[in-house]
Amino acid sequence: MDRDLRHRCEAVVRTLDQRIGISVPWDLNAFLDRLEQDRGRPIELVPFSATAPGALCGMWVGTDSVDLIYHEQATSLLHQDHIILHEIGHMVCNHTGAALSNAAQVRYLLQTSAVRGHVETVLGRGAYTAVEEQEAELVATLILERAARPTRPTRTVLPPSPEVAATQQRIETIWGRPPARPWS
Amino acid sequence: MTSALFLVVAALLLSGATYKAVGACAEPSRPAWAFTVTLYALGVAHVLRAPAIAQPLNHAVHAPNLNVLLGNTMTLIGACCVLIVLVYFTDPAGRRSRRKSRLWIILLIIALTAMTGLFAWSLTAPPADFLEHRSAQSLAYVLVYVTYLAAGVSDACQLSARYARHTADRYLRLGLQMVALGCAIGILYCLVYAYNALALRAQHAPLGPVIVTSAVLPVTCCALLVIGSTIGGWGPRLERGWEWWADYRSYRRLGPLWGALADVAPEAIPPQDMASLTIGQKRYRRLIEIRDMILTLRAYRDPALAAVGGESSLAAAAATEATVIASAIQARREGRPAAGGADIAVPPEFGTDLATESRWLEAVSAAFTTVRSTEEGPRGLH
Repeated sequence: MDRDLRHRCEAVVRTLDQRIGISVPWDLNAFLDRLEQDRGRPIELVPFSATAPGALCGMWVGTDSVDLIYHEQATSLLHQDHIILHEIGHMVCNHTGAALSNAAQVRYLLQTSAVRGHVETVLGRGAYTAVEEQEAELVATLILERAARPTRPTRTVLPPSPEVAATQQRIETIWGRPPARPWS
Repeated sequence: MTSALFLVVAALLLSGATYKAVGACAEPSRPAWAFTVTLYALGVAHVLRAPAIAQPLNHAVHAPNLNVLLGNTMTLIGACCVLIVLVYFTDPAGRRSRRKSRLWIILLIIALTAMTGLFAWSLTAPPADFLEHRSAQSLAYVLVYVTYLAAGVSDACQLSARYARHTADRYLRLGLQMVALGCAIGILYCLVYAYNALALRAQHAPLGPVIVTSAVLPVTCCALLVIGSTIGGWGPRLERGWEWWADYRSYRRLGPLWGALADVAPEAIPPQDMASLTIGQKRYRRLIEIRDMILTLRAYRDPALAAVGGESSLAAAAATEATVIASAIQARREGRPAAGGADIAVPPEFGTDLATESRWLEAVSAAFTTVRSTEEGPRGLH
Protein backbone atom coordinates (compact mmCIF):
# COMPACT_ATOMS: atom_id res chain seq x y z
CA MET A 1 0.00 0.00 0.00
CA ASP A 2 1.18 3.47 -0.83
CA ARG A 3 2.45 4.93 2.46
CA ASP A 4 1.30 8.44 1.48
CA LEU A 5 -2.19 7.12 0.80
CA ARG A 6 -2.28 5.48 4.20
CA HIS A 7 -1.01 8.56 6.03
CA ARG A 8 -3.50 10.75 4.15
CA CYS A 9 -6.39 8.46 5.13
CA GLU A 10 -5.26 8.21 8.74
CA ALA A 11 -5.16 12.01 8.93
CA VAL A 12 -8.68 12.23 7.45
CA VAL A 13 -10.03 9.72 9.99
CA ARG A 14 -8.24 11.46 12.87
CA THR A 15 -9.74 14.82 11.86
CA LEU A 16 -13.17 13.23 11.48
CA ASP A 17 -12.89 11.69 14.95
CA GLN A 18 -11.87 15.03 16.45
CA ARG A 19 -14.67 16.93 14.71
CA ILE A 20 -17.64 14.63 15.15
CA GLY A 21 -16.41 11.61 17.08
CA ILE A 22 -16.45 8.02 15.84
CA SER A 23 -18.92 6.13 18.00
CA VAL A 24 -17.57 3.19 19.98
CA PRO A 25 -19.58 0.97 20.18
CA TRP A 26 -20.41 1.59 16.56
CA ASP A 27 -23.73 3.32 15.81
CA LEU A 28 -24.14 4.30 12.16
CA ASN A 29 -27.24 6.44 12.65
CA ALA A 30 -25.68 8.50 15.44
CA PHE A 31 -22.54 8.92 13.33
CA LEU A 32 -24.54 10.09 10.31
CA ASP A 33 -26.56 12.52 12.42
CA ARG A 34 -23.38 14.19 13.63
CA LEU A 35 -21.91 14.22 10.13
CA GLU A 36 -25.06 15.88 8.75
CA GLN A 37 -24.78 18.59 11.39
CA ASP A 38 -21.11 19.08 10.66
CA ARG A 39 -21.59 19.33 6.89
CA GLY A 40 -24.84 21.30 7.17
CA ARG A 41 -26.44 18.97 4.59
CA PRO A 42 -28.84 16.08 5.03
CA ILE A 43 -27.68 12.58 4.15
CA GLU A 44 -30.23 10.06 2.92
CA LEU A 45 -29.63 6.33 2.70
CA VAL A 46 -31.19 4.58 -0.29
CA PRO A 47 -31.02 0.77 -0.11
CA PHE A 48 -31.12 -1.18 -3.36
CA SER A 49 -30.43 -4.67 -4.60
CA ALA A 50 -28.52 -5.35 -7.80
CA THR A 51 -28.13 -8.81 -9.28
CA ALA A 52 -26.21 -8.12 -12.51
CA PRO A 53 -22.55 -9.20 -12.58
CA GLY A 54 -20.18 -6.24 -12.05
CA ALA A 55 -22.93 -4.09 -10.54
CA LEU A 56 -22.07 -1.27 -8.15
CA CYS A 57 -22.73 -2.02 -4.51
CA GLY A 58 -22.68 1.58 -3.36
CA MET A 59 -22.97 5.05 -4.80
CA TRP A 60 -22.88 8.64 -3.58
CA VAL A 61 -25.02 11.14 -5.42
CA GLY A 62 -24.53 14.71 -4.29
CA THR A 63 -27.24 17.14 -5.37
CA ASP A 64 -27.47 20.86 -4.58
CA SER A 65 -29.50 20.11 -1.43
CA VAL A 66 -28.86 16.56 -0.25
CA ASP A 67 -26.30 13.73 -0.22
CA LEU A 68 -27.82 10.42 -1.29
CA ILE A 69 -25.99 7.23 -0.40
CA TYR A 70 -27.15 4.19 -2.35
CA HIS A 71 -26.10 0.91 -0.82
CA GLU A 72 -26.58 -2.76 -1.56
CA GLN A 73 -28.93 -4.29 1.01
CA ALA A 74 -28.57 -7.98 0.14
CA THR A 75 -25.56 -8.42 2.39
CA SER A 76 -24.62 -8.39 6.07
CA LEU A 77 -25.23 -5.28 8.17
CA LEU A 78 -21.49 -4.84 8.75
CA HIS A 79 -20.88 -4.93 5.01
CA GLN A 80 -23.71 -2.45 4.40
CA ASP A 81 -22.15 -0.10 6.97
CA HIS A 82 -18.80 -0.48 5.22
CA ILE A 83 -20.33 0.35 1.85
CA ILE A 84 -21.99 3.45 3.34
CA LEU A 85 -18.73 4.48 5.02
CA HIS A 86 -16.92 4.06 1.71
CA GLU A 87 -19.22 6.73 0.26
CA ILE A 88 -18.73 8.86 3.38
CA GLY A 89 -14.99 8.42 2.69
CA HIS A 90 -15.48 10.11 -0.69
CA MET A 91 -17.33 12.96 1.01
CA VAL A 92 -14.77 13.61 3.72
CA CYS A 93 -11.87 13.32 1.27
CA ASN A 94 -13.60 15.90 -0.96
CA HIS A 95 -13.52 13.65 -4.00
CA THR A 96 -15.12 15.16 -7.03
CA GLY A 97 -15.83 12.09 -9.09
CA ALA A 98 -14.12 9.62 -11.38
CA ALA A 99 -15.46 7.83 -14.41
CA LEU A 100 -18.10 5.28 -13.45
CA SER A 101 -17.82 1.96 -15.18
CA ASN A 102 -21.51 1.20 -14.91
CA ALA A 103 -23.41 4.15 -16.32
CA ALA A 104 -26.55 2.12 -17.08
CA GLN A 105 -26.97 1.10 -13.44
CA VAL A 106 -26.39 4.67 -12.26
CA ARG A 107 -29.06 5.95 -14.65
CA TYR A 108 -31.45 3.24 -13.47
CA LEU A 109 -30.86 3.98 -9.77
CA LEU A 110 -31.28 7.71 -10.25
CA GLN A 111 -34.52 7.21 -12.18
CA THR A 112 -36.05 4.72 -9.77
CA SER A 113 -35.35 6.81 -6.67
CA ALA A 114 -36.56 10.01 -8.32
CA VAL A 115 -33.63 12.20 -7.27
CA ARG A 116 -34.72 15.72 -6.53
CA GLY A 117 -32.57 18.74 -7.46
CA HIS A 118 -29.49 19.15 -9.61
CA VAL A 119 -27.01 16.26 -9.48
CA GLU A 120 -23.48 17.57 -8.78
CA THR A 121 -21.45 14.48 -7.82
CA VAL A 122 -21.77 10.79 -8.62
CA LEU A 123 -19.27 8.31 -7.16
CA GLY A 124 -19.73 4.57 -6.96
CA ARG A 125 -18.16 1.60 -5.19
CA GLY A 126 -17.41 -1.16 -7.65
CA ALA A 127 -13.82 -1.38 -8.79
CA TYR A 128 -10.69 0.04 -7.21
CA THR A 129 -8.62 1.21 -10.12
CA ALA A 130 -8.85 4.91 -9.21
CA VAL A 131 -6.83 6.29 -6.29
CA GLU A 132 -10.01 7.98 -5.04
CA GLU A 133 -11.65 4.56 -4.67
CA GLN A 134 -8.68 3.20 -2.75
CA GLU A 135 -8.73 6.24 -0.48
CA ALA A 136 -12.45 5.91 0.26
CA GLU A 137 -12.04 2.18 0.90
CA LEU A 138 -9.19 2.71 3.33
CA VAL A 139 -11.08 5.45 5.19
CA ALA A 140 -14.02 3.04 5.64
CA THR A 141 -11.62 0.32 6.81
CA LEU A 142 -9.87 2.57 9.34
CA ILE A 143 -13.18 3.77 10.80
CA LEU A 144 -15.04 0.49 11.05
CA GLU A 145 -12.24 -1.93 11.93
CA ARG A 146 -11.78 -0.21 15.31
CA ALA A 147 -15.33 1.00 15.93
CA ALA A 148 -17.13 -2.29 15.13
CA ARG A 149 -15.14 -4.36 17.61
CA PRO A 150 -17.38 -5.47 20.44
CA THR A 151 -16.61 -3.38 23.50
CA ARG A 152 -16.65 -4.54 27.08
CA PRO A 153 -19.18 -2.71 29.21
CA THR A 154 -17.40 0.00 31.15
CA ARG A 155 -18.32 0.70 34.71
CA THR A 156 -19.51 4.19 35.45
CA VAL A 157 -18.06 5.63 38.61
CA LEU A 158 -19.17 8.79 40.31
CA PRO A 159 -16.61 11.57 39.95
CA PRO A 160 -14.49 11.37 43.13
CA SER A 161 -13.68 14.32 45.37
CA PRO A 162 -10.39 16.11 44.50
CA GLU A 163 -8.72 14.49 47.50
CA VAL A 164 -9.81 10.98 46.48
CA ALA A 165 -8.88 11.67 42.85
CA ALA A 166 -5.37 12.75 43.88
CA THR A 167 -4.90 9.61 45.99
CA GLN A 168 -6.22 7.49 43.15
CA GLN A 169 -3.73 9.12 40.80
CA ARG A 170 -0.87 8.24 43.16
CA ILE A 171 -2.09 4.63 43.47
CA GLU A 172 -2.18 4.42 39.70
CA THR A 173 1.40 5.69 39.47
CA ILE A 174 2.68 2.91 41.73
CA TRP A 175 0.24 0.03 41.11
CA GLY A 176 -1.11 0.93 37.68
CA ARG A 177 0.51 1.19 34.24
CA PRO A 178 4.28 1.63 34.50
CA PRO A 179 5.84 4.65 32.77
CA ALA A 180 7.53 4.10 29.41
CA ARG A 181 11.06 2.74 29.66
CA PRO A 182 13.76 5.39 29.29
CA TRP A 183 15.24 3.65 26.25
CA SER A 184 11.97 3.25 24.37
CA MET B 1 4.80 -29.88 48.01
CA THR B 2 5.26 -27.11 50.61
CA SER B 3 8.62 -26.21 49.08
CA ALA B 4 7.11 -26.03 45.61
CA LEU B 5 4.30 -23.78 46.87
CA PHE B 6 6.73 -21.35 48.53
CA LEU B 7 9.18 -21.37 45.64
CA VAL B 8 6.51 -20.76 42.97
CA VAL B 9 5.16 -17.75 44.86
CA ALA B 10 8.73 -16.58 45.55
CA ALA B 11 9.39 -16.65 41.79
CA LEU B 12 6.17 -14.69 41.23
CA LEU B 13 7.16 -12.10 43.84
CA LEU B 14 10.71 -11.72 42.54
CA SER B 15 9.45 -11.36 38.94
CA GLY B 16 6.89 -8.77 40.10
CA ALA B 17 9.64 -6.93 41.97
CA THR B 18 11.86 -6.85 38.89
CA TYR B 19 8.93 -5.61 36.80
CA LYS B 20 8.35 -2.81 39.32
CA ALA B 21 12.08 -2.05 39.46
CA VAL B 22 12.06 -1.36 35.69
CA GLY B 23 9.25 1.18 36.25
CA ALA B 24 11.07 2.68 39.24
CA CYS B 25 14.25 3.10 37.14
CA ALA B 26 12.29 4.92 34.44
CA GLU B 27 10.60 7.26 36.91
CA PRO B 28 12.40 7.06 40.23
CA SER B 29 10.42 7.91 43.35
CA ARG B 30 10.67 6.85 46.98
CA PRO B 31 7.29 5.02 47.02
CA ALA B 32 8.06 3.23 43.74
CA TRP B 33 11.30 1.92 45.21
CA ALA B 34 9.65 1.16 48.56
CA PHE B 35 7.10 -1.04 46.81
CA THR B 36 9.84 -2.74 44.78
CA VAL B 37 11.67 -3.52 48.04
CA THR B 38 8.38 -4.89 49.48
CA LEU B 39 8.10 -7.44 46.70
CA TYR B 40 11.80 -8.37 46.81
CA ALA B 41 11.65 -8.78 50.60
CA LEU B 42 8.54 -10.97 50.42
CA GLY B 43 10.15 -13.00 47.62
CA VAL B 44 13.27 -13.67 49.67
CA ALA B 45 11.08 -14.47 52.71
CA HIS B 46 9.29 -17.14 50.69
CA VAL B 47 12.56 -18.62 49.45
CA LEU B 48 13.75 -18.87 53.08
CA ARG B 49 10.47 -20.48 54.21
CA ALA B 50 10.70 -23.28 51.62
CA PRO B 51 11.84 -26.44 53.49
CA ALA B 52 14.09 -27.40 50.57
CA ILE B 53 16.12 -24.22 51.14
CA ALA B 54 15.60 -23.86 54.90
CA GLN B 55 16.99 -27.22 56.01
CA PRO B 56 20.38 -26.99 54.23
CA LEU B 57 20.68 -23.34 55.27
CA ASN B 58 20.03 -24.03 58.97
CA HIS B 59 22.35 -27.00 58.81
CA ALA B 60 25.13 -25.00 57.15
CA VAL B 61 25.13 -22.22 59.76
CA HIS B 62 24.44 -24.61 62.67
CA ALA B 63 21.49 -22.47 63.80
CA PRO B 64 18.19 -24.37 63.91
CA ASN B 65 15.17 -22.29 62.79
CA LEU B 66 17.37 -19.43 61.58
CA ASN B 67 15.36 -19.44 58.35
CA VAL B 68 12.24 -18.53 60.36
CA LEU B 69 13.93 -15.47 61.85
CA LEU B 70 15.37 -14.37 58.50
CA GLY B 71 12.10 -15.02 56.66
CA ASN B 72 10.06 -13.13 59.24
CA THR B 73 12.56 -10.27 59.18
CA MET B 74 12.17 -9.96 55.41
CA THR B 75 8.37 -10.14 55.74
CA LEU B 76 8.35 -7.30 58.29
CA ILE B 77 10.69 -5.20 56.13
CA GLY B 78 8.16 -5.76 53.31
CA ALA B 79 5.29 -4.78 55.60
CA CYS B 80 7.12 -1.61 56.67
CA CYS B 81 7.71 -0.64 53.04
CA VAL B 82 4.00 -1.22 52.27
CA LEU B 83 3.09 1.04 55.19
CA ILE B 84 5.40 3.77 53.83
CA VAL B 85 3.81 3.42 50.37
CA LEU B 86 0.33 3.71 51.92
CA VAL B 87 1.36 6.85 53.79
CA TYR B 88 2.50 8.31 50.45
CA PHE B 89 -0.81 7.37 48.80
CA THR B 90 -2.89 9.28 51.34
CA ASP B 91 -0.58 12.16 52.20
CA PRO B 92 2.44 12.42 49.90
CA ALA B 93 4.21 15.55 51.08
CA GLY B 94 2.85 16.35 54.52
CA ARG B 95 4.94 16.62 57.67
CA ARG B 96 2.54 14.21 59.37
CA SER B 97 3.22 11.53 56.79
CA ARG B 98 6.99 11.86 57.21
CA ARG B 99 6.51 11.50 60.96
CA LYS B 100 4.30 8.49 60.43
CA SER B 101 6.80 6.81 58.10
CA ARG B 102 9.59 7.41 60.61
CA LEU B 103 7.40 5.90 63.34
CA TRP B 104 6.84 2.72 61.30
CA ILE B 105 10.60 2.40 60.72
CA ILE B 106 11.34 2.86 64.44
CA LEU B 107 8.67 0.29 65.32
CA LEU B 108 10.19 -2.09 62.77
CA ILE B 109 13.62 -1.74 64.36
CA ILE B 110 12.10 -2.35 67.81
CA ALA B 111 10.13 -5.39 66.55
CA LEU B 112 13.15 -6.88 64.80
CA THR B 113 15.40 -6.31 67.81
CA ALA B 114 12.84 -7.93 70.11
CA MET B 115 12.35 -10.87 67.75
CA THR B 116 16.11 -11.41 67.38
CA GLY B 117 16.56 -11.28 71.18
CA LEU B 118 13.70 -13.70 71.78
CA PHE B 119 15.02 -15.98 69.04
CA ALA B 120 18.52 -16.00 70.54
CA TRP B 121 17.05 -16.70 73.95
CA SER B 122 15.02 -19.59 72.56
CA LEU B 123 18.25 -21.25 71.30
CA THR B 124 18.90 -22.45 74.85
CA ALA B 125 15.83 -24.74 74.57
CA PRO B 126 15.43 -27.68 72.11
CA PRO B 127 14.69 -26.41 68.52
CA ALA B 128 11.28 -28.12 68.41
CA ASP B 129 10.12 -26.00 71.34
CA PHE B 130 10.48 -22.85 69.25
CA LEU B 131 8.40 -24.21 66.38
CA GLU B 132 5.74 -25.69 68.60
CA HIS B 133 5.59 -22.58 70.80
CA ARG B 134 6.24 -24.48 73.98
CA SER B 135 8.42 -21.70 75.36
CA ALA B 136 7.36 -18.22 76.49
CA GLN B 137 10.08 -16.71 74.25
CA SER B 138 8.59 -18.36 71.22
CA LEU B 139 5.08 -17.12 72.04
CA ALA B 140 6.33 -13.57 72.60
CA TYR B 141 8.26 -13.77 69.31
CA VAL B 142 5.09 -14.73 67.41
CA LEU B 143 3.00 -12.01 69.04
CA VAL B 144 5.52 -9.28 68.19
CA TYR B 145 5.71 -10.56 64.62
CA VAL B 146 1.96 -10.82 63.94
CA THR B 147 1.18 -7.46 65.57
CA TYR B 148 3.45 -5.56 63.20
CA LEU B 149 2.42 -7.63 60.20
CA ALA B 150 -1.29 -7.25 60.94
CA ALA B 151 -0.91 -3.46 61.11
CA GLY B 152 0.61 -3.45 57.61
CA VAL B 153 -1.90 -5.75 55.94
CA SER B 154 -4.99 -4.24 57.58
CA ASP B 155 -4.01 -0.71 56.43
CA ALA B 156 -3.39 -2.00 52.89
CA CYS B 157 -6.69 -3.90 52.94
CA GLN B 158 -8.72 -0.82 53.93
CA LEU B 159 -7.08 1.46 51.40
CA SER B 160 -7.34 -0.95 48.45
CA ALA B 161 -10.99 -1.78 49.15
CA ARG B 162 -11.83 1.93 49.44
CA TYR B 163 -10.13 3.07 46.23
CA ALA B 164 -11.21 0.08 44.13
CA ARG B 165 -14.72 1.56 44.21
CA HIS B 166 -13.56 4.86 42.75
CA THR B 167 -11.47 3.70 39.83
CA ALA B 168 -12.90 3.30 36.34
CA ASP B 169 -9.79 1.52 34.99
CA ARG B 170 -10.82 -2.14 34.74
CA TYR B 171 -7.41 -3.59 35.48
CA LEU B 172 -6.52 -1.23 38.30
CA ARG B 173 -9.90 -1.89 39.92
CA LEU B 174 -9.40 -5.65 39.66
CA GLY B 175 -5.86 -5.23 41.01
CA LEU B 176 -7.02 -3.23 44.02
CA GLN B 177 -9.73 -5.80 44.73
CA MET B 178 -7.12 -8.56 44.58
CA VAL B 179 -4.81 -6.66 46.92
CA ALA B 180 -7.73 -6.12 49.33
CA LEU B 181 -8.61 -9.81 49.24
CA GLY B 182 -4.96 -10.81 49.67
CA CYS B 183 -4.62 -8.51 52.67
CA ALA B 184 -7.84 -9.88 54.18
CA ILE B 185 -6.29 -13.35 53.92
CA GLY B 186 -3.14 -11.88 55.48
CA ILE B 187 -5.15 -10.63 58.47
CA LEU B 188 -6.70 -14.08 58.80
CA TYR B 189 -3.20 -15.61 58.71
CA CYS B 190 -2.03 -13.28 61.50
CA LEU B 191 -5.07 -14.15 63.66
CA VAL B 192 -4.74 -17.90 63.09
CA TYR B 193 -0.96 -17.79 63.68
CA ALA B 194 -1.40 -15.91 66.97
CA TYR B 195 -4.28 -18.13 68.08
CA ASN B 196 -2.35 -21.32 67.30
CA ALA B 197 0.72 -20.08 69.17
CA LEU B 198 -1.43 -19.35 72.22
CA ALA B 199 -3.30 -22.66 71.89
CA LEU B 200 -0.11 -24.71 71.62
CA ARG B 201 1.42 -22.90 74.58
CA ALA B 202 -1.76 -23.72 76.56
CA GLN B 203 -1.58 -27.28 75.23
CA HIS B 204 -4.82 -26.99 73.24
CA ALA B 205 -5.40 -28.22 69.70
CA PRO B 206 -4.44 -25.67 67.00
CA LEU B 207 -6.85 -24.48 64.29
CA GLY B 208 -6.87 -26.14 60.88
CA PRO B 209 -4.28 -28.35 59.15
CA VAL B 210 -0.70 -27.04 59.45
CA ILE B 211 -0.19 -26.79 55.67
CA VAL B 212 -3.17 -24.45 55.36
CA THR B 213 -2.37 -22.18 58.29
CA SER B 214 1.39 -21.98 57.80
CA ALA B 215 1.73 -22.26 54.02
CA VAL B 216 -1.48 -21.84 52.01
CA LEU B 217 -2.66 -18.67 53.78
CA PRO B 218 0.59 -16.63 53.54
CA VAL B 219 1.32 -17.90 50.04
CA THR B 220 -2.19 -16.94 48.79
CA CYS B 221 -1.93 -13.54 50.46
CA CYS B 222 1.38 -12.77 48.73
CA ALA B 223 0.30 -14.17 45.36
CA LEU B 224 -2.78 -11.92 45.35
CA LEU B 225 -0.68 -8.97 46.50
CA VAL B 226 1.86 -9.31 43.71
CA ILE B 227 -0.69 -10.03 40.98
CA GLY B 228 -3.02 -7.26 42.16
CA SER B 229 -0.30 -4.65 42.42
CA THR B 230 1.11 -5.34 38.94
CA ILE B 231 -1.93 -6.29 36.85
CA GLY B 232 -2.64 -2.62 36.09
CA GLY B 233 0.58 -2.65 34.06
CA TRP B 234 0.65 -6.02 32.32
CA GLY B 235 -3.11 -6.69 32.11
CA PRO B 236 -3.78 -4.37 29.15
CA ARG B 237 -0.70 -5.73 27.32
CA LEU B 238 -1.88 -9.29 27.85
CA GLU B 239 -5.30 -8.32 26.48
CA ARG B 240 -3.71 -6.71 23.41
CA GLY B 241 -1.67 -9.89 22.88
CA TRP B 242 -4.81 -11.98 23.12
CA GLU B 243 -6.59 -9.71 20.61
CA TRP B 244 -3.66 -10.03 18.21
CA TRP B 245 -3.82 -13.82 18.48
CA ALA B 246 -7.62 -13.85 17.97
CA ASP B 247 -7.30 -11.59 14.88
CA TYR B 248 -4.50 -13.74 13.47
CA ARG B 249 -6.44 -16.97 14.03
CA SER B 250 -9.55 -15.50 12.41
CA TYR B 251 -7.49 -14.16 9.47
CA ARG B 252 -6.06 -17.64 8.91
CA ARG B 253 -9.45 -19.33 9.19
CA LEU B 254 -10.92 -17.05 6.54
CA GLY B 255 -8.06 -17.94 4.19
CA PRO B 256 -9.57 -20.91 2.30
CA LEU B 257 -12.80 -19.08 1.39
CA TRP B 258 -11.01 -15.83 0.53
CA GLY B 259 -8.44 -17.64 -1.64
CA ALA B 260 -11.04 -19.56 -3.64
CA LEU B 261 -13.15 -16.45 -4.24
CA ALA B 262 -10.12 -14.33 -5.15
CA ASP B 263 -9.28 -16.84 -7.91
CA VAL B 264 -12.52 -16.09 -9.77
CA ALA B 265 -13.33 -12.51 -8.67
CA PRO B 266 -9.99 -10.69 -8.28
CA GLU B 267 -11.56 -7.41 -9.42
CA ALA B 268 -13.23 -7.08 -6.00
CA ILE B 269 -9.87 -6.82 -4.22
CA PRO B 270 -8.25 -3.38 -4.03
CA PRO B 271 -4.65 -3.34 -5.31
CA GLN B 272 -3.19 -2.75 -1.87
CA ASP B 273 0.05 -3.81 -0.29
CA MET B 274 -1.22 -5.21 3.00
CA ALA B 275 2.19 -5.13 4.70
CA SER B 276 1.60 -1.87 6.55
CA LEU B 277 -1.83 -2.87 7.88
CA THR B 278 -2.22 -4.24 11.40
CA ILE B 279 -3.39 -7.83 11.75
CA GLY B 280 -6.81 -6.53 12.88
CA GLN B 281 -7.10 -4.43 9.71
CA LYS B 282 -5.94 -7.32 7.52
CA ARG B 283 -8.59 -9.55 9.05
CA TYR B 284 -11.23 -6.85 8.56
CA ARG B 285 -10.18 -6.37 4.92
CA ARG B 286 -10.47 -10.11 4.38
CA LEU B 287 -14.06 -10.10 5.71
CA ILE B 288 -15.08 -7.17 3.52
CA GLU B 289 -13.37 -8.60 0.45
CA ILE B 290 -15.13 -11.95 0.96
CA ARG B 291 -18.45 -10.09 1.17
CA ASP B 292 -17.62 -8.07 -1.97
CA MET B 293 -16.68 -11.22 -3.86
CA ILE B 294 -19.85 -13.01 -2.73
CA LEU B 295 -21.83 -10.06 -4.15
CA THR B 296 -19.83 -10.27 -7.38
CA LEU B 297 -20.84 -13.92 -7.73
CA ARG B 298 -24.47 -13.26 -6.90
CA ALA B 299 -25.70 -13.90 -10.44
CA TYR B 300 -24.10 -17.36 -10.30
CA ARG B 301 -25.74 -18.53 -7.05
CA ASP B 302 -27.97 -21.52 -7.64
CA PRO B 303 -31.46 -20.96 -6.11
CA ALA B 304 -32.04 -24.73 -5.96
CA LEU B 305 -29.00 -25.26 -3.71
CA ALA B 306 -29.81 -22.24 -1.54
CA ALA B 307 -33.37 -23.53 -1.00
CA VAL B 308 -31.97 -26.60 0.75
CA GLY B 309 -31.18 -24.25 3.68
CA GLY B 310 -33.41 -23.16 6.53
CA GLU B 311 -31.27 -24.96 9.09
CA SER B 312 -31.16 -23.62 12.57
CA SER B 313 -27.64 -24.60 13.58
CA LEU B 314 -24.67 -22.47 12.60
CA ALA B 315 -22.75 -25.41 11.14
CA ALA B 316 -25.66 -26.56 8.95
CA ALA B 317 -26.45 -23.04 7.68
CA ALA B 318 -22.75 -22.46 6.97
CA ALA B 319 -22.53 -25.77 5.10
CA THR B 320 -25.44 -24.76 2.83
CA GLU B 321 -23.88 -21.35 2.15
CA ALA B 322 -20.50 -22.99 1.44
CA THR B 323 -22.13 -25.36 -1.07
CA VAL B 324 -23.84 -22.43 -2.83
CA ILE B 325 -20.56 -20.48 -2.98
CA ALA B 326 -18.60 -23.49 -4.29
CA SER B 327 -21.19 -24.00 -7.03
CA ALA B 328 -21.20 -20.25 -7.87
CA ILE B 329 -17.41 -20.30 -8.21
CA GLN B 330 -17.66 -23.23 -10.59
CA ALA B 331 -20.47 -21.54 -12.58
CA ARG B 332 -18.44 -18.34 -12.86
CA ARG B 333 -15.47 -20.34 -14.19
CA GLU B 334 -17.74 -21.93 -16.77
CA GLY B 335 -19.43 -18.61 -17.57
CA ARG B 336 -22.99 -19.79 -16.89
CA PRO B 337 -25.02 -17.53 -14.58
CA ALA B 338 -27.85 -19.21 -12.67
CA ALA B 339 -31.40 -18.44 -13.72
CA GLY B 340 -32.85 -15.91 -11.28
CA GLY B 341 -29.88 -15.92 -8.86
CA ALA B 342 -30.32 -16.79 -5.21
CA ASP B 343 -30.42 -14.48 -2.22
CA ILE B 344 -27.30 -14.19 -0.13
CA ALA B 345 -27.90 -15.98 3.14
CA VAL B 346 -26.94 -14.18 6.33
CA PRO B 347 -28.59 -15.61 9.46
CA PRO B 348 -30.13 -12.67 11.36
CA GLU B 349 -27.98 -13.12 14.44
CA PHE B 350 -24.75 -12.85 12.40
CA GLY B 351 -23.08 -10.09 10.43
CA THR B 352 -24.14 -7.28 12.74
CA ASP B 353 -20.65 -6.51 14.03
CA LEU B 354 -17.10 -7.63 13.51
CA ALA B 355 -17.35 -10.55 15.96
CA THR B 356 -20.54 -12.10 14.57
CA GLU B 357 -19.57 -11.46 10.94
CA SER B 358 -16.26 -13.13 11.59
CA ARG B 359 -17.87 -16.11 13.31
CA TRP B 360 -20.26 -16.65 10.43
CA LEU B 361 -17.71 -16.34 7.63
CA GLU B 362 -15.18 -18.49 9.52
CA ALA B 363 -17.87 -21.20 9.78
CA VAL B 364 -18.59 -20.85 6.04
CA SER B 365 -14.85 -21.00 5.30
CA ALA B 366 -14.47 -24.19 7.37
CA ALA B 367 -17.51 -25.75 5.66
CA PHE B 368 -16.15 -24.63 2.28
CA THR B 369 -12.92 -26.57 2.90
CA THR B 370 -15.00 -29.69 3.61
CA VAL B 371 -17.16 -29.16 0.49
CA ARG B 372 -14.02 -28.70 -1.60
CA SER B 373 -12.32 -31.84 -0.28
CA THR B 374 -15.54 -33.84 -0.81
CA GLU B 375 -15.81 -32.59 -4.41
CA GLU B 376 -12.17 -33.38 -5.13
CA GLY B 377 -12.43 -36.82 -3.53
CA PRO B 378 -9.76 -38.69 -1.60
CA ARG B 379 -6.22 -37.89 -2.68
CA GLY B 380 -4.50 -40.46 -4.86
CA LEU B 381 -7.64 -41.81 -6.54
CA HIS B 382 -7.68 -39.22 -9.35
